[in-house]
Amino acid sequence: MRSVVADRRFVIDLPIRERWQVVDVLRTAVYQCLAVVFDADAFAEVVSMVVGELVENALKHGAWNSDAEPTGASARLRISSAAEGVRIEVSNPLPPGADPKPILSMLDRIRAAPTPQDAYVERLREVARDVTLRGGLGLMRIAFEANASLTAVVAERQITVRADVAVPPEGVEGAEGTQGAAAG
Amino acid sequence: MQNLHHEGLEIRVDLGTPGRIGFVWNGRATSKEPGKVLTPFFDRALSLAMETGSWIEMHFEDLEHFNSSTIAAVIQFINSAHSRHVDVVMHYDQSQKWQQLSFDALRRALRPFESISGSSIKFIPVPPRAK
Repeated sequence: MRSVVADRRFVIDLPIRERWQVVDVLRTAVYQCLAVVFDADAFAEVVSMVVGELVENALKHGAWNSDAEPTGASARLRISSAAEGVRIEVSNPLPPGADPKPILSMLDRIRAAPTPQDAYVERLREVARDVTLRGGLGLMRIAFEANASLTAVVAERQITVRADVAVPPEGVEGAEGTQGAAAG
Repeated sequence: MQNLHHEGLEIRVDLGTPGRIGFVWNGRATSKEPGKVLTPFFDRALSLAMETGSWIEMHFEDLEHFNSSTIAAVIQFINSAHSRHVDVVMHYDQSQKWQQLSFDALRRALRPFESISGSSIKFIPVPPRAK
């Protein structure tokens, strides 16, 4: 018998340490937490992938206290229930002089593409052709594989990237990633 | 060639079939810079494949997760194999949603490359195994 939680409200709010190993720990922990709330393992897996990619980006591109010019600020992961599903937010301080435009332009590209899959496939082709290319693939993957709505806000040298992931209809295990799997 | 162990990832090398170089992926590919380890590993595989006239077969069915940096390393390997005229076959588990989505996108991304002379690239979705 399938079991449905009537009240799915929750918040997970954590500071992120500057260690690469925390990515896998968080990914696994989030998967296990969401598998408790949602009767859809694949949905928990999708959300954990989103968490992994966003935290990786924060660790790669954020300003950290071991940097030459420590900011004293820290990064945070916040996961909360939303009306249609789950909201994942990762905030991190920007390094001095860092330009957030590349991230914002990647989000613009996702919005401008006919589908998130088109944006992701185009970025894969760019990465295949140019081994020096860095960045953007994780965001495009999130938009496609999680069918997530992505936004970013920059304020006071802090960037917050937000992904809203819709929960699949109850009892429809495997309906996640509702982009469909069409290979085009 | 030796098996590769890197952080939570293992790639087992299978040279048991003449004319075929097999790689079986296990665990989780979550490295910060996987290309630093995977690119030289794949370069050795491509050199061996060219010396022996072999094709390369990759098995991802037992892989639990890979991050987008690993996806970048994989697609760059496929591109490199294509330009060096080495055939590649990729097996993945279509019953795992993440693998289905990831490999369908990779297959679609690489389709234009197939029209250029080079190697053949095949993606084979493996049906769920009996448990």
